[in-house]
Amino acid sequence: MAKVQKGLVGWQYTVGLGSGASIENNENTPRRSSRRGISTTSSEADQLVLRRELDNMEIKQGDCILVDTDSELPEIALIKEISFGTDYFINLKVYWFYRISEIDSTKLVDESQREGLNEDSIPEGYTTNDIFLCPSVEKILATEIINKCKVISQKTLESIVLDESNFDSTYVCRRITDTDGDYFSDFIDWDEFQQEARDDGDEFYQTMKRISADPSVSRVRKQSSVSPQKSEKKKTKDPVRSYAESDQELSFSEASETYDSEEEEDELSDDEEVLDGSPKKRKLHTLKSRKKPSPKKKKSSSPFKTAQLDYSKKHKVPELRFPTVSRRLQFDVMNSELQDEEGQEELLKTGRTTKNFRKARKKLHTSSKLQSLPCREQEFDAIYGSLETAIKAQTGCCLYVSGTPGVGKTATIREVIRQLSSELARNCNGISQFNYVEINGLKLITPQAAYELLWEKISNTSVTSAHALTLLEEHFEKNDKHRKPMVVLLDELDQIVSKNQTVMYNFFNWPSYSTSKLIVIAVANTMDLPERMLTNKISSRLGLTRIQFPGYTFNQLSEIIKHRLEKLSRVNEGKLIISKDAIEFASRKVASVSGDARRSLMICIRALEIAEMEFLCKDQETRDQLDGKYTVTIMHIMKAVNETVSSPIANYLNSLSFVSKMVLASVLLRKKRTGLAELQLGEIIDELNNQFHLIMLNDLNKILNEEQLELLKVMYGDDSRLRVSGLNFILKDLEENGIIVQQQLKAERLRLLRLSVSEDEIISCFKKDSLLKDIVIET
Amino acid sequence: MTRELEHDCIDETFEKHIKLKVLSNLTNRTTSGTKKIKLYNLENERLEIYKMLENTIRFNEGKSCLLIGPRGSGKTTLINNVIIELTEKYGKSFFIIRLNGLFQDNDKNAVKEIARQLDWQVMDPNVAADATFEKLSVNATMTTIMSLLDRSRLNEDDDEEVEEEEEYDIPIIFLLDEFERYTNSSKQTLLYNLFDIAQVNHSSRTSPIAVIGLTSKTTVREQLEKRVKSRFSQRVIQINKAKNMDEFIEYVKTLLKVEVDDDELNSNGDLQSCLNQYHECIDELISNKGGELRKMIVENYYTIKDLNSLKNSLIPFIMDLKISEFNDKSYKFSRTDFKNESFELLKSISELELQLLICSARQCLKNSLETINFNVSFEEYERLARKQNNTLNSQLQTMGNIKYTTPTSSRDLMLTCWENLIQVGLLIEPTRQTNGINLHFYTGGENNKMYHCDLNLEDIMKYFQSVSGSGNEGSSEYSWVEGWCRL
Repeated sequence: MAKVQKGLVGWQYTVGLGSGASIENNENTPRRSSRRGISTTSSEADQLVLRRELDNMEIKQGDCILVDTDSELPEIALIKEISFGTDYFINLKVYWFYRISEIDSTKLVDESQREGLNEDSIPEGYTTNDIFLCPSVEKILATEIINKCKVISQKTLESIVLDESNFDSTYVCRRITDTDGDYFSDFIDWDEFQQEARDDGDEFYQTMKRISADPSVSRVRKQSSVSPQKSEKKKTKDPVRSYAESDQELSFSEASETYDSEEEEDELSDDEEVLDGSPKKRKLHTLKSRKKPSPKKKKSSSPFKTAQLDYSKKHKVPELRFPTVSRRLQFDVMNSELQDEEGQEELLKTGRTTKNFRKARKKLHTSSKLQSLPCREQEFDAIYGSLETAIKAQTGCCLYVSGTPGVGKTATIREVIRQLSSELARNCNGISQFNYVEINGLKLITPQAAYELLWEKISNTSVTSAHALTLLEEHFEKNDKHRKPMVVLLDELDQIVSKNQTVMYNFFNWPSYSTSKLIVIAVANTMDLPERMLTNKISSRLGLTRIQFPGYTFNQLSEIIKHRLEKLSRVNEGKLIISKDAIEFASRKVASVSGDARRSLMICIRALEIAEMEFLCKDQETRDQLDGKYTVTIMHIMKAVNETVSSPIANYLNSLSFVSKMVLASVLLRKKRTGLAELQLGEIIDELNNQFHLIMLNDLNKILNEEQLELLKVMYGDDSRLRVSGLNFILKDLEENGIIVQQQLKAERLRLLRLSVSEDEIISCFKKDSLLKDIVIET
Repeated sequence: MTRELEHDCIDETFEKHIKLKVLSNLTNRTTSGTKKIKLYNLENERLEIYKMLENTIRFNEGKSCLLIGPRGSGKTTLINNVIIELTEKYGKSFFIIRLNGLFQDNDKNAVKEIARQLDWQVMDPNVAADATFEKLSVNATMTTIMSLLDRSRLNEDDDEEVEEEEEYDIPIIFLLDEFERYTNSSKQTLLYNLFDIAQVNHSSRTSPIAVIGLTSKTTVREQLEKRVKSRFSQRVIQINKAKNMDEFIEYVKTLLKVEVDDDELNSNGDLQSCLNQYHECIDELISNKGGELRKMIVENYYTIKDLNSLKNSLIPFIMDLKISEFNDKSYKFSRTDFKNESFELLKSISELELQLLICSARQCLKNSLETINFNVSFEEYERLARKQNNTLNSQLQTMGNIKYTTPTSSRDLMLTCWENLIQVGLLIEPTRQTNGINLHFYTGGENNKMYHCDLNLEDIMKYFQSVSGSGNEGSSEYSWVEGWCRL
């Protein structure tokens, strides 16, 4: 090359035709044309081969390489694709391998064997050179490549010996993991795999995507052809409970496949046949989502499940109502990219840490689907049971669900519906057995709009609410054998209350028609809403099926947070470290702040944001030193917690002008003297005047004298000494900032004033002010 | 000779140029949001907001935060600056919806306004007129917007929608000015929905949105309804007034100094020197203790600490400023007038009216009343007038046998005065309810109707003392007031 390309110093490239002979791209060829020609075809047959001038090492698609990422050990990568790029002349896209030391190796084995293992120890049957392919694509620079390495399969491993000569360059790949290092596929034949990677990159990508995905995710979709088992995503943050449950399910659904632990050991060591059986089928389902599966998932899909049976028996899990069906929370189907490639460009510039922060935040986000619904099994069962009975019996029913904000009411109901829908549909050849509509009281402008929504769902025509009401009435009265049951979720019920409560009356009345087949799930915050707000005729129609969601206890919450944060620190490949103390602290502190899961997680996200800001504020040099590693400490979490609990009032009070502070101080003094909460402005004016005339503000006087000003002249602005200068402005300002409340009265002196912040807060602020200390101490 | 003239000419044009720049700095309409405006000491806040919005735009993260700061502290300006920056970087890849609690004063109007702004920004000539977001009924509009923004609802036909989603996946930034107004409605529907969408946002099913509420109310977070509060990210960014004098002076300097583009500088070498001269002078004036400008700033700092009123006082100063003879010695700053209007009125009412007012105030004080009617005041007036008459007569008697009778003004005349006082606002009709009866509907006749007296006796006395003390012309006119005010 005439011109040395960025990131390609010391490298030459050749364009290979298929896997056949490669043609040296000599310098006579005009670069432009060759480039153009290649870029159009490279995706098909031509493969680029890169050759290092130094030692003539050639790399091409499908090769495994060691990459220098500034960490202790070189990273191992599989080349996905070499192509001409726009930002960099050559794009090297690779899949990463996780080293066994980088993952939580307890995940590799099942529960019974976990004892005595910690995250860093290596389970039996694995070596330190075990690596796990992960389907995340990243771009690297050619200069980062250290050397080629050899990745071998299980079979090859048996035929060779790992010793010092090849310890650094030979690795064994037996299983594939997902991007989070959380789920591990069954054993694979690496040789076949690599061949596929060499021949057809895209195909390989798809295969890998499939295999690395949690199979249960997509099982529902292919159920009819594959397994009768209903798939489920049991989201969990509470490992113990969820394992217990999964085991329970297994004991029902797969009781026939009973293996002994010893047998299993055998499989583990060398038998790949079994793995090609039923589990393999599961593997082949398409993965639409990269979302993190829960550990429990992995369990159920892993080939060795039975060892858990004993374990499960020890746990007293309330008996499932539908033993034939193991309900699984389905995966939310998402078309997320395999790896957020849009972030790649930036990645090379700002370092990987920022990306890690982002990833971390995503993990913590409330809506992120890794989130599970732990501690909600009972409620889940109750709702599921009532709904299923009603649907099967083709009758109407009402269900009242209550609980404070952020305890997972809506989320649980949605999961129930999701599962019920696919569960019932599966029993009836894929035809859904009921309709479902969600009406949120706070998302309606008027309560009556609920009719419109419901009617639109039923008939697909939109009419005015009054008209919709008549139509609905007619609809539910008519006896229609073919009508499917309709499930209505009335969220934020208290907001649908209208003056004469007709909307609610109707919604609870319709289910009582024998012909309506209407099922109403009402959700509200307070348990006694029907008694407090509704008339008797409505509460009697609401029925007695009430389900209360208790708030998360301190322990449950801290378990949730802890689990998430721990997962996070593992996932980030040691780049974003969350110190153990910090996790412990966060889980306790945050959980004690509020019982609202939503809020707790937001605090954690905020802590990460704070850490990120701090990282970004460091100059480039320190950043390089940190090497993309950044530790989230207790300090960050403290800061985030404080932010949510501390109010901005203190800051505002501190920045007030002297006269404004004096006004507030006068209010305090007067308040103390009269003992009344509400004071007339006239009194405050008098008090203020007294203060200015009587108290020697020596410090202030001195300051003002230096400026050649007189205290009283400054304060009053004229000679009458009646009203402090700008009094009305100051009062208005205080009112707008929410410190005081003023009566809307034209008469100045008679206007009533009241503090709307706590007195202590003001006092503690003023005590720090050198000018006001003396005055405040009186109070 | 001609050369010198030319030089002066140039100086004058520069002077004008600089002055214009400073004035535009002082009078800038911050809400227009077309030009970046320099802010002092808000770099951290800017970075924080910038990062947050950037995350929304680039990585589809839903965000919500509150920006709290007193009036005139630069909240809107700060946001505008950030948005200008973002537009420069990302072009039109995101939408901004601006709502103001003063204009869109309830949730219905706000929803309509959102739809209207979306229509405006999406505006596509190919789309038929009925495909707009804004529908005839508010309910329909709401449904359309919610279906666009919020796809977290469980739908039976999820898969079909996947395709359409792509085109709508544009980040939307909501700016809610006067945020606290939206907390007044009991349902807080708008806030609930916006925060709800912002927090369930990672699941690529919804358009990523960022919600920024601007408010001056420090207690606004407590006003959020519990469900809304649970969905709010709890993130509060606060802007404060200057903490100490030095900081305040820095703020003022930022206001008064100008930056000139490099282009302009290059074309005009002298401009730089002129500018430097100007900056030096400003620095000197501001740090000159005892100077008028400095005095004005210090006064402002200790009393109201408000940059906006300071700006108003500075505008005429800058207009009159001559860079060549730079001083503020003779300059008299017009303080922003915060005088109490009731006091100003006192001088403009007639003597009888003033007497009647004093009588009302006397009665209020004597009997510690809050409200007073005409009959009581008139009685007091008659008594005082007679007493004054008697004193005068007895004095005259000692001098000679002259009898002087001042006619006490008739009841009707005084009633007119009374009405006048009501009209100018020194007597105020109470709006408070007493015993459940709104006094507005009192029908007992004008004579018995109760009024508040805005000023008390002490106020009136002191005011006239200061007037006569000041020695201005006409101050002796009011010498009688003190006598009347004495109980």
